[in-house]
Amino acid sequence: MAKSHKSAGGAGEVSFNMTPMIDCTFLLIIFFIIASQTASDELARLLVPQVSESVAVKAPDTPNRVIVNVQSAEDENAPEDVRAVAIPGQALQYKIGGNEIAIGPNAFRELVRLIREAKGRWEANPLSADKSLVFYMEVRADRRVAYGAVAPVMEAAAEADVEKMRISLELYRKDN
Amino acid sequence: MPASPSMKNGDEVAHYVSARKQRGRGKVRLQPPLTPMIDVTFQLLIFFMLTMTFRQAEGVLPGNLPAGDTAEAATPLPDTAVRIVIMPHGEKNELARYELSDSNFRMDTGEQLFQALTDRKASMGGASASEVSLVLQPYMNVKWNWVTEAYNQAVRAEFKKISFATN
Repeated sequence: MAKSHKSAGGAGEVSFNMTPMIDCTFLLIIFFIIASQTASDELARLLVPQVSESVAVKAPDTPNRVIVNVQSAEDENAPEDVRAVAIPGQALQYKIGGNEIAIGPNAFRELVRLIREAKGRWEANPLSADKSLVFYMEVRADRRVAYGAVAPVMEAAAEADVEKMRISLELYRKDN
Repeated sequence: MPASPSMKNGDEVAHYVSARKQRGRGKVRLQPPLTPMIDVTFQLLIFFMLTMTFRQAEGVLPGNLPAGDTAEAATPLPDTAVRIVIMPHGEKNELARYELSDSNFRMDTGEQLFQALTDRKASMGGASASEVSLVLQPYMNVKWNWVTEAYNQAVRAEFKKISFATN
C-alpha cells in the first residue's frame, strides 16, 4: 500500500508513514476483542433483569458455584420456528455449563442431577476445604421469562442440598 | 563512484567518495512487506466490529434456599412474616403489581415498594425488624424481571431473611 514517488530529478522519495495507522488499527482490534461478548459455556446469551436502584454486587469469580441459565423463547438467538410461536414468558431451555436441558417433564430431574454433579465436583476440589467458600447456585434467568420457569430451578437446587443462591441482575446504572 | 566488490584492479579507477556521500547513496532500505499484514489486520477489525455486542454489567443478590428436601423443608410461615404478592399486569403480562400483606394498596413501581417496605420496617421497630421473614409470592406467569425487582427492593430495605413461597 505504500505509495512512493520519485521525482524526475531523482532527488527525494515521498512515502506515507504507515506506523501511526497500524498502531491505531491494532489498538482498535484489541479494544474490540476485550469489549466483545464471548459466548461461554457458563454464561449463555440472555438479558438479565434490569431493576431500579440495583443493590447487586459483582460476583467473585470463584469455582464454588453452579450457574443455571434460563433462556427465553422470545430471544433473538432462539430458533426462528420457536420464536414465531412463543407465548409471552415462555422459556426456551435451561443451560448449565455445556448442558442444555429442554423444558419438559424431565427437566426437573435433569436439573437436580446436574446441580448435584456440580456440587460433587466442588467437594472434590481442594479449595472446598476453605469453609468460607460455601457452594451456591447462581440463577441467571432472562428477564422476559415467567417465574413459573425459574421456580423449578430453585426447587431443584434445594433438592440437591444447595443452601445458598445468588440472583443475577444488572448492576446499578445512574440512568436507572 | 565508490569501489564495488565486482570491480577488479585496473578495470576502473576508484575515486575517493566521502563517507557522507556513501551514506546517502549506497544504502539499501530493508522493509518487510506490510501489505498482507495490513490486509489481515483490516479483516480482523471489520470482523470484530460486525460481531461485537456489549456485555451488560452483571451483579448478584444473595439469597437462601430451603435446606434439604423441598417437601420436608417447606415450613409454615410465622405470623409475623411480611408477604409480597407479585401479580402480572398489562395486556401481555409485561408489567407487575406488588401487594404487601395486611394492605390493600397495590404498587406499580419498585420505588413505591421500597417505600412501603421501609415504612413497614419502621412500624415494626427498626433494626429488629430486619430479622422478620420476608416472603415473595409471585404468580407463576409474572415476568422474572419483576420478581427480581421486588427481591432487590427487599435487600435494599435491609431485610435479611428473604425467601420464596413454595406450595
